[in-house]
Amino acid sequence: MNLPHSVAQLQAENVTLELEGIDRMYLNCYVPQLTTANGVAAYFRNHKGHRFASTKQAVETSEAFRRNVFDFAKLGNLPVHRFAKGERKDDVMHGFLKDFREGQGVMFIGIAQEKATVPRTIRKRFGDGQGSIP
Amino acid sequence: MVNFYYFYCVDGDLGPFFLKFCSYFPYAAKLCINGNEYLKRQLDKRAIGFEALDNGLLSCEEPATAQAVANGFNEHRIERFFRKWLKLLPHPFPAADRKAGYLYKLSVLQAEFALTQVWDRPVHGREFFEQVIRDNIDLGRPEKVQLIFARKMRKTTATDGRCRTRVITEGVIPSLHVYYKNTHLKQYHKTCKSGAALRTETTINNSYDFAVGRLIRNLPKLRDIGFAANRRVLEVETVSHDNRVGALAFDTLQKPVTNDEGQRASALRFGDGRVQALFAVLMLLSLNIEGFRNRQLRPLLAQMLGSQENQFTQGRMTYDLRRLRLHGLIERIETTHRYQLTRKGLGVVFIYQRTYARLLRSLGDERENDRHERNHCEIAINPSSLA
Repeated sequence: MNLPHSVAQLQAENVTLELEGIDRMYLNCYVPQLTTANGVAAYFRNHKGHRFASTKQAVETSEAFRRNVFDFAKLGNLPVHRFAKGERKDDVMHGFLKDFREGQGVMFIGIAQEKATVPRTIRKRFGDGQGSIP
Repeated sequence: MVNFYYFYCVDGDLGPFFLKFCSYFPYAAKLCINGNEYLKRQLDKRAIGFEALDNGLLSCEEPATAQAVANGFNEHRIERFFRKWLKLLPHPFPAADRKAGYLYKLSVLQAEFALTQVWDRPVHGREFFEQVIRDNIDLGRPEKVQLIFARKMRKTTATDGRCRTRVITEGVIPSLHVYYKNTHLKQYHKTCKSGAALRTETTINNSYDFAVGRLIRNLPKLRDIGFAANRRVLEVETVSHDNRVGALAFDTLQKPVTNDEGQRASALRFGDGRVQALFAVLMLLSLNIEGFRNRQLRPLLAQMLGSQENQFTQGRMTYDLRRLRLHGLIERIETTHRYQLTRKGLGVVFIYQRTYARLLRSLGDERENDRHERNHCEIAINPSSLA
């Protein structure tokens, strides 16, 4: 009859491999100067040379980034996948990973709509459409 | 709702990962990487044979090398990897901005620190959990959480439900969860066709829980906290089972002791209420990495003995600490005013506490039960006694 082992016995006698390491890491990537209102104002006024600090002035950069992403996908012949609501991103990734044969590279570009706290960069018009709130 | 652009990539060194950019100013991004994938890639590169688990290793030809590789996954490597991919992928900020110093920095949002122990037979994993669940169901209680994470527990944190233990039996695979503020420690089984492993994993969701900054340069500190928490959980689970205090050592504690230098200390008698209270407090502080001080013990001991903190003087505490030191149960940490339990001390504390709680207290209850039963019998035999 086998007597049940104690935790100490099991740890000492029945572990064949022990490995300690970092598992998953989720990192935030941010530009430190743009985390405060004053920093953003300095970016638009001092660096970009605008008279007033307005997020409207970021529209051009945002548009350029969007174009760059799609150009990058076109140039590299990369699939662009729009994530549907409720679709598990990990499952989609595993689907692409299965067919990915290169040692290193971009598998695909995904686009998802998510909640985020960002400054408004679109104009709101009022009245007869002439006036606008920046 | 705004658009996010996800770049799902495979890196030669780190394996699969994703980097997502917000399409709106200031283009915040998130990076998700996995240390286990890094390990697998590196072992492949070194041509070291291994058998992969779902998220880890089940076996490896060179375990020491695998551990060394896992240790090499550090903040510098992550930083280099991130800079490399920022150059390869479309960058939201134009070159002029980057030249002016508008560069991305990395901070830790969530980090998992795992300890994987592979069992020789899956049945041993089940035995382990049966023992652990039976004995350590109270790991999430505030005082234990304080031990595991070596942090002082505020009253609000202890009572607002952020410290708790859950034991989940999903199908037939149990898991143990311990919570501390935003940090989550879980212990569970990882199984595959050819084996099973125990995974003890600490997930730090907010580094400020431990008064550590979020920048990636603080990863070594978080790493130490995470791995120490894993080890301490296992130590608490192990020490409580592996208690080898001999009869001689137990007998010595019941008598006064005199050391080589002629210093004398009174006995630590098993039945003494003050000794039991002292050991209860020591058990609370037993696995604290930094040890404990006279000042830390006093309020706890006063509470245990039902007296006011100001009545329990520094001198009284010094007397107890001296007794413990001369009996070899504690030792002073050099160049500090802190003490730590010796291995013998840890064993004695567990024996005293467990025996008292499980044997004597339950015996007391049985006596109480017997008294009630006798009374009932008397009443049944002699109904007139009711009158």
